[in-house]
Amino acid sequence: MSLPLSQEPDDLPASTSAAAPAGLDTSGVLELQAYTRRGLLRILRSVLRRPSALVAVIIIAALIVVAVLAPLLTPHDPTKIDLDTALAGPSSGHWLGTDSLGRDNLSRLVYGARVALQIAIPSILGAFVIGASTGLIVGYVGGAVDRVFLVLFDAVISFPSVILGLALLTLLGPSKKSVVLVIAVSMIPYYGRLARAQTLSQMRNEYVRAERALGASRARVLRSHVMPNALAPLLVIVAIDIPTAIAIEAGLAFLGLGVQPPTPDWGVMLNDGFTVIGTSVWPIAGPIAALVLVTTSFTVLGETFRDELDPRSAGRVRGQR
Amino acid sequence: MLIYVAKRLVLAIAVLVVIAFLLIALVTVVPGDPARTVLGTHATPELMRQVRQTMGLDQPVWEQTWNFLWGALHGDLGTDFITRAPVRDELGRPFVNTLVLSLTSMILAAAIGIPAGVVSAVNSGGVIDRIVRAVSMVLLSTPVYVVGLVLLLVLSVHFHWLPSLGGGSFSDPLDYAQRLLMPAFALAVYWIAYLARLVRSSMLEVLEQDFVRTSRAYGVPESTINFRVALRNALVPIVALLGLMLGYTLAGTVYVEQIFGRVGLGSLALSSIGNRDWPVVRGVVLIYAVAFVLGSLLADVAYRVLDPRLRVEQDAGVFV
Repeated sequence: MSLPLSQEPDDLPASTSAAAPAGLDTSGVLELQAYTRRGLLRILRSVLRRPSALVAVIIIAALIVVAVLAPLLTPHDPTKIDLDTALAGPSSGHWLGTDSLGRDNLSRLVYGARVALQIAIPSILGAFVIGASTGLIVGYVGGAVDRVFLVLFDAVISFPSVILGLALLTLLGPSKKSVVLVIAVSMIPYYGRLARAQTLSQMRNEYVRAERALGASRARVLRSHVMPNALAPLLVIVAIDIPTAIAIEAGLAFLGLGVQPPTPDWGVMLNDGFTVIGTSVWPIAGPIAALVLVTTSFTVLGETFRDELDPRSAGRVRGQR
Repeated sequence: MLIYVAKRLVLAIAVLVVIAFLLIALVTVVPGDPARTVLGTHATPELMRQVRQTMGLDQPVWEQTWNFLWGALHGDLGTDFITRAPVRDELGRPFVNTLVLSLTSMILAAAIGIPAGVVSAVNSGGVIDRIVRAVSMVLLSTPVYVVGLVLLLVLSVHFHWLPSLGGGSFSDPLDYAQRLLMPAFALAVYWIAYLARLVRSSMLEVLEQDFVRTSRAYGVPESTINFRVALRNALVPIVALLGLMLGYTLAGTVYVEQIFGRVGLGSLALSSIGNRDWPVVRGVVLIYAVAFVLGSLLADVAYRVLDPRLRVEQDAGVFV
């Protein structure tokens, strides 16, 4: 049930409703714009100096490497059925044992990383592109358009992603494409609201008014000033939201609504393993460990970034240590 | 204050209308005809037209939305495709089960999360604090279905402590409560971590204030400062959070009911998706959405009631 981490810098009183009670307060991330590129490098370096963050980075890097190199790393075909060895425990041939159809758990786990990223990355990127551009334009135009979109965003946010998934997948039928669509749709309003809020705060700047006074067109101001300044900080949030997408994807697959068997997917593995939970733990042990490690790593990393970026909280933490 | 509540109410109603509209419009946008789903591929055009008419699919989307909302306001959510029973009757019992599950998990979350946060804040920087923070970091990230599966694995499959499947019935309250415990805890885990962190950070913030230093200087006992001053202030955002928690725990029940084999809104939605029984899915989704919108409305209003500072800005309005 993890929620998107993006929390908006609260510029409207009504928005406690929309600002999901995210686990992390990412407000500090938005301070990024205060830093130059060199400052960013410095922050990166001090983030990596913390052991917990370093471990998190290593785990995330491992996830990516495993996903990319999946065919080279797996000794078995992840979908090859061999009923003779069904539900075997760990052995030298199958390090994590086999599932109810005798498929190699480790190979399925490794390929599952690939499926997870294949769905998470396009859905988050899609949500960012659509959400951010909508938020940008809506915030810039303002007025009635702005209000209509706020209500629209609120309406979509009022569907928790599972429920939205239930509704959309009933009608679309389950497939990779529909899962990407469901995740994207559920994230769009968060990015939309964030981008809108960022745009509004950018437009309050003197230089934007100066530029307009000098005769620049609205489109030019929007493109060359408001957009880069408003959106750059959001990119970090996008990266932190990847595990949210992975969790939704695996969750839908677990419910039988997302990616369908026999695709090697963490959620599908959980679903398969759940039916034999009384006989063998090995089919679900892998995906459980993978999901916990990956999501926690991203959380730790996001948290560390926030601490580094928010001088107030960083000072407090250091003061206590 | 009244102006704020009124504006917020208008927003909530607007959101619900949009949701109802989307629920209706989706059917027309998405390929596949619900009438076809009911009748199968060999239905005659004549029969198709008849069924479409009884389902109201021949009317324009606006009119369908209006009928759906008007019906829902009067407790009529349409008719189940498969059983031909009113959807409202089918939702009644599962709704109670799900609501009980949700509320129990909220109570558990508060009962464990808040003390954990207090202990963590009071021992800030100490061993306990570090443990609470590390554990809550992991629990905060872990998806609810993973928590549920791990609990099931450890408590039921391995130790046989708690019954794993089914929800029991009200006629046997003890059994019902016992069966409620594990799913409710699974659902609560995320919020335990969330509340622990929230209480910790807001207590620390209060403890840094000048008036706390002054109280100390006057010799007010440390326990009084911690509990009467810091905790009270720290609880304000939490009370406001309860509304939002209701919406999110309700959504989480979809997973938990599946894992623990409970009858509820979530499992009902899942089985009706399998049957492509759109009216039931639509009814369930509407209930979730209403709970969510209502919860966040209460959260916003409660926040302003509890924190007078916010009321100063209230008349700036909903949309500023």
